[in-house]
Amino acid sequence: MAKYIAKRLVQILLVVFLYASIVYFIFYLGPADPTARFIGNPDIPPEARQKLAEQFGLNKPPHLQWLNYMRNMFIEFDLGRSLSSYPRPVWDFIITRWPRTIVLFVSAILISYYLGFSLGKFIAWRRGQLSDYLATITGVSLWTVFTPWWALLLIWFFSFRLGIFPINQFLTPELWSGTGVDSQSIFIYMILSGLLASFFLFLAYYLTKKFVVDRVLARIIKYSAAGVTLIGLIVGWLISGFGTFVGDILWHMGVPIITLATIQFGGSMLLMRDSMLETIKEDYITTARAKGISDKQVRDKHAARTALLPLVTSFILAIPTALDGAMVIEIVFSWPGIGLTFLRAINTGDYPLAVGSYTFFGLIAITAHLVADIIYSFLDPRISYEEGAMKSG
Amino acid sequence: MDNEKKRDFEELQQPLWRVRLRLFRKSFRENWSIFKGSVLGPIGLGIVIFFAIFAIFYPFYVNIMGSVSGRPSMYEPVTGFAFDIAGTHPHSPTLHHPLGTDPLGRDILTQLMFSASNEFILGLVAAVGGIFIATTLGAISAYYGGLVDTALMRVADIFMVFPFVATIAALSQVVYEMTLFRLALIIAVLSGFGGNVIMLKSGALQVKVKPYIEAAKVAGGSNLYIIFSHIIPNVLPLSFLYMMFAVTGAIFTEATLAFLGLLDVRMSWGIMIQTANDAGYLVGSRLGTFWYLWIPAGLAITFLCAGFYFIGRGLNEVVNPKLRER
Amino acid sequence: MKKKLAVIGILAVILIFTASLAGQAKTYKIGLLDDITTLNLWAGIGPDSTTYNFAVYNYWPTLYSLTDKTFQFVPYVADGMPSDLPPVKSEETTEEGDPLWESTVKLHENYMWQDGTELTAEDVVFSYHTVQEFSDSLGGNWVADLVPSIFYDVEAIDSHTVKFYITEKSAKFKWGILMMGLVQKAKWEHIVEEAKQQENPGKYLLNYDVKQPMSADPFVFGERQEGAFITNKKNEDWYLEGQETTLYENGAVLDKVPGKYEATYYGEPEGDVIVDLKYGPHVDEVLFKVYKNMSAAVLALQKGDIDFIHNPNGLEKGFADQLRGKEGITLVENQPNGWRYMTFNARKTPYDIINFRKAVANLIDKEFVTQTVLQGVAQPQYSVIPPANTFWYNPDVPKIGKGMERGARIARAVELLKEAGFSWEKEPVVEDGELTQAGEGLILPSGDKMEQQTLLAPSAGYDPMRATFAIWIERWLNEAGIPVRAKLTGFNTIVQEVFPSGEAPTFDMYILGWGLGNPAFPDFMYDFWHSSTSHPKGFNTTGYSSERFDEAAEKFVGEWDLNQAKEYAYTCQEILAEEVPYVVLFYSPLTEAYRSGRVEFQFDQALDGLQGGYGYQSLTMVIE
Repeated sequence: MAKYIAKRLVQILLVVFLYASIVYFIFYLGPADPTARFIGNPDIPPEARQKLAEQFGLNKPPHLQWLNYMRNMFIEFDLGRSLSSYPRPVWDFIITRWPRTIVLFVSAILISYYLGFSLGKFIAWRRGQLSDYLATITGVSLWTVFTPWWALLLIWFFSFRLGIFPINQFLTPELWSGTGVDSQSIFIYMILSGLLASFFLFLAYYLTKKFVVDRVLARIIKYSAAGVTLIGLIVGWLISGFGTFVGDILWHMGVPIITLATIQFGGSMLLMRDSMLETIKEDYITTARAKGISDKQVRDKHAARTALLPLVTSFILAIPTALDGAMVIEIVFSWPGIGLTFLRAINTGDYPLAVGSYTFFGLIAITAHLVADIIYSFLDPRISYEEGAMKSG
Repeated sequence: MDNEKKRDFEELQQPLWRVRLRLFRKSFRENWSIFKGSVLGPIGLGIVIFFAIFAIFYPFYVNIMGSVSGRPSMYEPVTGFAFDIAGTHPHSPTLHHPLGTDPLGRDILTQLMFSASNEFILGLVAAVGGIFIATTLGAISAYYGGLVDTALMRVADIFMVFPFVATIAALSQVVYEMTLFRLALIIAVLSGFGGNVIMLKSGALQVKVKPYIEAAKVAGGSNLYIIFSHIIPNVLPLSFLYMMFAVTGAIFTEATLAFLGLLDVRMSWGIMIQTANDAGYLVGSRLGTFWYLWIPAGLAITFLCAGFYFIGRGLNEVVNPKLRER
Repeated sequence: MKKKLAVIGILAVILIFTASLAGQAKTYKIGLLDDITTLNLWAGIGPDSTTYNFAVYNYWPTLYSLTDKTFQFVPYVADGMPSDLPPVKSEETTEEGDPLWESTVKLHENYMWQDGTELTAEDVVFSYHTVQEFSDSLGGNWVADLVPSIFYDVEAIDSHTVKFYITEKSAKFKWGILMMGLVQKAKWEHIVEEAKQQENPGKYLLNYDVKQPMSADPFVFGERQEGAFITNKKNEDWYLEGQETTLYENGAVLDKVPGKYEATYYGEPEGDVIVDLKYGPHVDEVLFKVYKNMSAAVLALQKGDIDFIHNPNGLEKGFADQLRGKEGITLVENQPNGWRYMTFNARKTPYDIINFRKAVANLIDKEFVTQTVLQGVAQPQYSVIPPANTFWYNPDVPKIGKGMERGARIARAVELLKEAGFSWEKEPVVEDGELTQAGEGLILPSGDKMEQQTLLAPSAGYDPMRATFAIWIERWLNEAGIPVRAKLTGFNTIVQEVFPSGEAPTFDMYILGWGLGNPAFPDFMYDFWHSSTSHPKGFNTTGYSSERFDEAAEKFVGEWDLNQAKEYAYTCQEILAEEVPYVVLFYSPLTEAYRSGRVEFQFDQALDGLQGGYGYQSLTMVIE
């Protein structure tokens, strides 16, 4: 197992290198000229633009620039300087932006997957009935709805009409002003507590599965574990004094999450349903039914668990896809994350920043794939760790 | 009994293409009934056919409305102008402008129909191109295995990693003029080398192990012949399935990019929404008043995408027998 | 007992929470469409400059400034006008022995920085020297102000007097050098020294992490939450706090800070008053909230989350309509200091032929596109000076094609082209004022058929108004037989074609726009059209070269007497409107909105709108 991971890591490094180079050239070949912004002011002499280009290092031959860039990236982890906010390091931008994007999108994916999972389970068992059709049609329609359009509609409805959520941004300035609290630390804090909570839950579930035989007791333990984690989280935040700030951010995440969840749940719901339908036809389910075990148990215990596998992998793989849609969501909701940074970078021709954020997306995608592969092999003992077998898509 | 033998013999004498045609028609009929039974499939087909008719109807609409109103120049999607309306634009629907006018005074229904054909072309070029590449690569990868397989899978890995919309957004700045056609080609290449290859490869693998492939090899068929005449045709149902999803993706991507202002296209459904949004008509209560600026275009995108997606779901039942009703 | 404590605790938290919200003494909330790029003013005004930086940076003092609304040159940190304007010939010379001109400026006494130290001549000299030394790295606006090509040196005569030396008696001394930003020597001196030790001094200086910009202006920096908001607080120690400026119809300006000083410029302070401005600042805090898109900002304004939206493009029609008539919201319309235009590459045939350009100008119906298609969101323009710049604007420039019907326009174009020796494969036919046969295949005077031309223009996503113009122009030109295709593309692409680095551009025609810098002295007329400024050396992208214009432009730029200069400026405008190197197309009125129930402005009509003046935040009053 360890050897496999090591081999994959090496492959990943190669892929990142290739990827970053390709990306670099895509941007370099373009007409993007970061000094173009200064054209509009007639008081600024054209030589100033030339000087600026020199300063940005734009007048060196392309292969030298590329070599320089690659060397900086891999050896010093220096992604260069942003050209639109010269000379601020690109790394700076990424560090401050990625927690915001991650917090929003991971939460949204979790919720949409949970929704999809439950609904998928539900309708797989009701094949052909009205609820099946309704859920499917709703899910698919929302899946194909035009995102910005839907987002605007929900903003209008929730933030304006009902007024229960704020309009855009990710925090309420009046609340934060003067307190000296930095949103960056709050986001990191949220991510850490989220990770801690999920680790704790995972541990609880795993131990229960292993050691507790009695099903009823197992269920009680699982639910109480979930409850304890949740209460622990809330109390922890309140005690730390940052409770209001975390709450503020969560409140601002309301409409974006509703938007994302409604759009995305269709995918996981249908996947779950299909996956369950396949397993339902498997022999051991028929046997279970024949033995007289209740439908619900068959559904939850047998079918669901095997069907869980593609769902888990698809969840991990959904993260990079969701990030890809980040640009649209972030611009509509004024959520200053990596997506918005990327958009701004390509609009101003700031290609170090663009390449930096783009590579970051890629890195997340590659990591997600690796994690998905590992989990897949972990959960399904039928798969071995060889190359060919892993490509079961 | 002699007659039977004679008939069988005659049947065997028939040219190969006739036999194939008969088999094709038979399986088509079978598949069609499965498709019909999937409910989603026929709905999707219906939607797509509706839009096709919608797009074809465009020149008729322009001509009819032109002669009815006496001013054909009003019905141009980009440089039209509704002179007959006294009020300000955008204007709510009138007799001569069934869906009203956009902020620049152009007839919305004209724009909708004009864009429909563009969206079809975009979707089909992107999807057919992409899936063609993916199918060929998948078949080659499955057939040859070994080094070729590994190499292609690595390439697919890299392509899968590229964030789709972000890449095209970046390319939109690079490409001199990002027209719909170029966009379609870019989408085709990006999706053709990516994840679809893996899916289609597993489909090709299933075909590869069938006995008639061995038979063809024994009979002396060259590799290329086997790939293109036997493997790929049998993977086609799967290809067709993915093509549907690819169309959805292409149309959706175009609309998103148009909304972000990254395309140099003069008219498309995405551009219609973007025009309305940038001009400020999609704010607050305006969403209700100016419904005709965004609902028709948004619904068109949604429905056409859904249409192809539904067809895909229907085809999924044809291709994947386990999903059918017992 | 525990429960009671908990309840009290929660109540207390809620109370404090709401109290802190309610206790917002006079806060002026402004919505920005993007965050500032940095707090380091060297970068923020230099390579990283954005319009939002300027909105927020109310911290940097200058020796001289422009009045609000009338844009007249007045002292700010300086006490009184410079000793000599224009500068006089100096006894000093450059190292090479070239002549210099000089002028002396006195500073106010006791003009304090935010930390209580006095702003002295040392600070002034330090600022100018630093910009001069780092001019390559600082670029942008610093260089535009300092004008290294004419700035030679500045020295401190005593603690409150400085003397400038320049190599040319250029108007840029007044409108550039004297208006450059000042920084505190005490704060920056050692940093600049450190920078000079570095391998890349400019980078060091620009990247220096500034937590608190040092201010000597109406506001001081409060705090910043990146991507979300920035706050500025009132500067209690601002020297000019409470200043009153009275602007008179006759051009006179009366500056008064009660108890400190009083001065008059440009004439006698008598007669009708345009406006009586009272600088405050009248608010305790300015809170800038960052929204990333206009829809969100407009909704926020409606809801009351902000009082004003700072967007240099103003509100689009849809947003303006949305806000019109809403209770508590007032809309204001002004003219921007800029316009949009189409131009030709006069280095190529046939664009160097005046008649061709005139013919094209005739074919373009600006009134149709702006009034009918765009429904008045844009206004046609014929002169290169914005009409709102009342001092310099020549209302009598020839207006080619205005008021003519389509048929008449085409006929006139045909006439002009024929005169210059053009012909067609199929000549356009106009009967009774209607076009009965569209033209095809224009043939140049040389006998060659004209190749397909490309008109570069912003795409609809970037600017729908210019994109619309481009499409209609394409249609009209093709009707007359001129083969043109409009290529709608991104801003960067156009700029690359039009301003290629280091070589002459090869485009055919393009549509862009200009923001016109300093409204007080439109020397851009020289920069854009004088033959010596042909790109790549200068801004003259069209390659236009006209002796007649050169002469007029030179006279204009060299003239220090404003009234005489005005005459020359009028001539320049006339020539440009006749020879049309640029077909100026339109300007779009700047529509701004604010919550009249919460804030009050002391005037609302000015070039570039409410946000255009330097004092707009120190003039605003918050009423509850």
